[in-house]
Amino acid sequence: MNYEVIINVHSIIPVSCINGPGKRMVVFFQGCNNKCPGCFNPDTHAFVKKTGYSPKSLIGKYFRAGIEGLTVSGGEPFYQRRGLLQLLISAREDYGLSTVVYTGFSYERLSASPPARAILKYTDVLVDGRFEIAGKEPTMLARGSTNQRFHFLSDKYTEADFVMDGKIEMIIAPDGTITQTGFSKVA
Amino acid sequence: MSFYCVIKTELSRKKYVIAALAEMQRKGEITNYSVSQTKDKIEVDRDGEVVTVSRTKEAANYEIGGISRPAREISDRIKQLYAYESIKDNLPLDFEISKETEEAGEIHITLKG
Repeated sequence: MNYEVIINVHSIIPVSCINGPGKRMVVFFQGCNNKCPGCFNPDTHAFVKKTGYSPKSLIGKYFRAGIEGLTVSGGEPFYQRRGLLQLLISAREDYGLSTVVYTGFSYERLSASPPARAILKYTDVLVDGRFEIAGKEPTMLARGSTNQRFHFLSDKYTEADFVMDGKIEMIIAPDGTITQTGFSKVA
Repeated sequence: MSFYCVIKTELSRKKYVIAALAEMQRKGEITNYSVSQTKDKIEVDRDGEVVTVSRTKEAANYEIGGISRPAREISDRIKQLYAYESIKDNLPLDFEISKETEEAGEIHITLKG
């Protein structure tokens, strides 16, 4: 059966400078079961319908010239494997974007699963591990806690590329709406 | 995962409205603005298109009135610069701005902390 995959998306940032190397589109998937204490994004946990996009329409709608990559965050992206795979394929093959995926699952567990391995083929960098509030990342590395590991699955990036200019980014849209993102919060 | 949240900007404080207007005037985006001494009202002149920024009571937010197109455009820009000024003014002591850019109509502020 041939049918279109729809990704259930919590939110999208068309251009962020703090979610990985360079300017990146960031897609936050909806739905996560990890329940990490102190998680930054509790609103993304529920498995409820938010906004649905086909992978190609999502990138087509939000793509802006000058971005170098796509970062997938969440929520837990690997709960929507088909959509995640097609999104990464489209990012890489249709737009020439690099791909970074954040997940609470370990690389080893994902590597043991054939569907997940297919996704890793289209992932330049996987950042794995649950968020551990006791080990909050103190440096400018683009991760929430120090237990989370960077897996460089292509030769595109190194760890130095994940040292950001800051911990928080505030994007003020032309209508004054403020989007906050990053690996810390302003109290 | 990084965090994500969205905040809608409301024009609640006069000092940031005036700071936004001063910045717009400095950048040549409006011609002039005048603050009423008796009413909670500011008149903004953009090349002869005049809009008003006012509120009916102290607890309310400021609203922009006038011809719809300039009012909408000026309102959006005031909100954007209001947000920028209030963020800068209200940063906790343990945060500092490490980078600022304005591109494609968006202002990006990166904070170290």
